[in-house]
Amino acid sequence: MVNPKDNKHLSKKELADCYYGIPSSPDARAHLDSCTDCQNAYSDLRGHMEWIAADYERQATSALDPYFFAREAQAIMSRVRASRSSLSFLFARWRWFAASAAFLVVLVGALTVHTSQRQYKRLWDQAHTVVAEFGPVSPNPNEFISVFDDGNSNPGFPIGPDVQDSELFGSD
Amino acid sequence: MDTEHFDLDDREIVRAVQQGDTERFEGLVRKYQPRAYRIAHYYLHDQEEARDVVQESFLLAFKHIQRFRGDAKFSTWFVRIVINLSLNRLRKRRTPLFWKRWHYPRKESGSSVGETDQVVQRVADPLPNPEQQTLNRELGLRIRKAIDALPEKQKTVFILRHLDGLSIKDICQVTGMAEGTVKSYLSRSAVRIQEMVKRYYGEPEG
Repeated sequence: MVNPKDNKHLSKKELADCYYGIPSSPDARAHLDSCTDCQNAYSDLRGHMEWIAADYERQATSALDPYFFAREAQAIMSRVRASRSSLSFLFARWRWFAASAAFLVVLVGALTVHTSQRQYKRLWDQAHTVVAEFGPVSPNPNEFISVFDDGNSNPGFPIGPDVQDSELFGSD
Repeated sequence: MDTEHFDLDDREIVRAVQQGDTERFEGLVRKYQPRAYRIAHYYLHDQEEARDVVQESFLLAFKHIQRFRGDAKFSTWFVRIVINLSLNRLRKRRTPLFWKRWHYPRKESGSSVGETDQVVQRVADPLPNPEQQTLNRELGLRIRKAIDALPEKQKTVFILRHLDGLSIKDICQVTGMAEGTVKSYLSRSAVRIQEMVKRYYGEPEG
């Protein structure tokens, strides 16, 4: 039977749309309900899909032995356990990394302090050498004399090779 | 599919694994492994590769299980991983094809039988008539080639609907597509397969 309206069978797309419940024109649905050829084509489509599903299923599983999945589950779990221990190892490595980083910081700090101290000591020594070489300015001898000078009564106490004994002690 | 662990609550298992009970993960492995294997095989048509993909998928799921917050079903999340890894394999396989052909020439040169045919030939066909078996194998091969040639999204939708048996709603959750898009992809792939079948039987395409 054909569609009385347009005298045409449903196209493959219309059939597929009906099969998947895609809202198509009401005419298409009505035609499918009334046309034996289109109903056969629709059944063919459904049959093909079921055949494909069965064929794929057979293909995927027929070559497997009955213990395949049990064996595979064990293999997967051993890999899962290994990955877990490797994850913990990774964390442990991170801990080691953190410890190493802290140690490095301390080491670099100590080295810096040590180097700066050495540098300071070298500068200090250099300063001493300079001081020793050029020395501080020696005091003025007059300043030394003035220590014994009481100002008024004592006119001074001249010391020197040019001072005569008579000057010192007077004459008899 | 293995029904032994169907009664287990996925969320409960996931929570236990998240809290450090690794051994509970085996419940998920046993429950979803056959399905994952089938899906991977539907894409790859190779037992070893499907096996690898399933193992990688479970490892990946375990590694990132802390990220699973239970908003979606575990199966949805996991199937998405399997699909992505299978598609990655297919993409990798596609790229160096010329290289493979050059370095590993087909053993059965002179015949049109390829890798996929060998898989088909391993299949024990239950049909009694040898001629019918041959026809079915050839048709199966052509259909597989037609499905393999579908664009990735169409193929995924087709596999999930017809081979994995998911509902349209579940396909939307796995793929993140809108319902209309899923249906449209399904319709297009069905048309393409129908055309191929008609061509195979020499019927005029309508």
